[in-house]
Amino acid sequence: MVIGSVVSDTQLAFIKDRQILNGILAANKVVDEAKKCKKELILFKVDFEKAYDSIDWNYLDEVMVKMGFPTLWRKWIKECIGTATTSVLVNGSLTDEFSLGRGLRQGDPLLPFLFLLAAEGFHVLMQSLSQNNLFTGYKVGRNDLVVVSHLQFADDTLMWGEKLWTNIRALRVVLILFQDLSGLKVNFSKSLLVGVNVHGSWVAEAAMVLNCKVGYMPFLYLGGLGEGGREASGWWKDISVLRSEE
Amino acid sequence: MPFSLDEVKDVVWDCKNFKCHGPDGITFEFIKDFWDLLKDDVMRFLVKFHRNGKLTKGINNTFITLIHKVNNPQRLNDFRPISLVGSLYKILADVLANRL
Repeated sequence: MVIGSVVSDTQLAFIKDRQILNGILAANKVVDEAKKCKKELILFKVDFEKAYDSIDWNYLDEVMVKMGFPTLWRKWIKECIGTATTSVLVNGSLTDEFSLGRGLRQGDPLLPFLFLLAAEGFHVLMQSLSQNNLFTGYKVGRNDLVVVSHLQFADDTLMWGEKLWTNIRALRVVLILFQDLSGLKVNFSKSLLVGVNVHGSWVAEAAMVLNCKVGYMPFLYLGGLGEGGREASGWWKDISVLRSEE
Repeated sequence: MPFSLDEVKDVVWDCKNFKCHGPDGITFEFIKDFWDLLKDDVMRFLVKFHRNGKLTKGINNTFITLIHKVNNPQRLNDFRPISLVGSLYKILADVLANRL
């Protein structure tokens, strides 16, 4: 298994020994800490539109080159996703076959891993933004030792930052840049901006600039996993509500 | 490294028997039951792919169908599409995914 070594530890999905609960706990901890220490924190929950269906294949290949996958591997993957044809089952009868131009098929066993490779591009972007001081992540603890800027669970992405206008601008730029690179389109109108210890009017103004919704504590992160077959495990939803300490 | 028989067998046995089959209409129960007869052909397909990296037309065909997201679907929004892949492609993709 090489996936664990090429994908950064801000990504929690689909990799052995990484768990969704860690993400929820980490998110909760950061919020708690901000509340306790009366520090300003903004959170941005990104909603990608039809994430799996819109990945650009050339981008994926480019990521694999950068990660150092051998040519043979890339050829295999390209063949596996590039030759895909499909037909739609309508009431049990089939339409004509057509081939696909982008995206990964939900049902293809390769999807989780390939998606992680694509999502890693976002991590790299965020990292370089932070390193070049274009985005200021949230500093946890008194000594400002740990700086957190984002957390990913497959396409569920959460971003943390200090309350700065430059952050809001950087956030928008990085998401639009990522969209152009990878084909993953951010649905700003479904994304949430939440402020902790930040005045409501500031959040509202920032949300207007980003064209997104204003969220309030507690909000649901990673709760989207409650859908479908996993509905039965209802404890999920309870846990994944980011609680406010009131 | 070429694909080994054990590696492939593990993958096949990890697949659920009656999962909805794709365009080739072959369930995994069938493949498991007749593994002794089929294994050579399956391996030949994988070895060939390993060597030239080409998939024969039709192998990678899928069906798209709707499954419901909630228990009592009322509207189109309550459904989402999934692809049903053929069993040969599934074996191949699983083997690759296991190595990733």
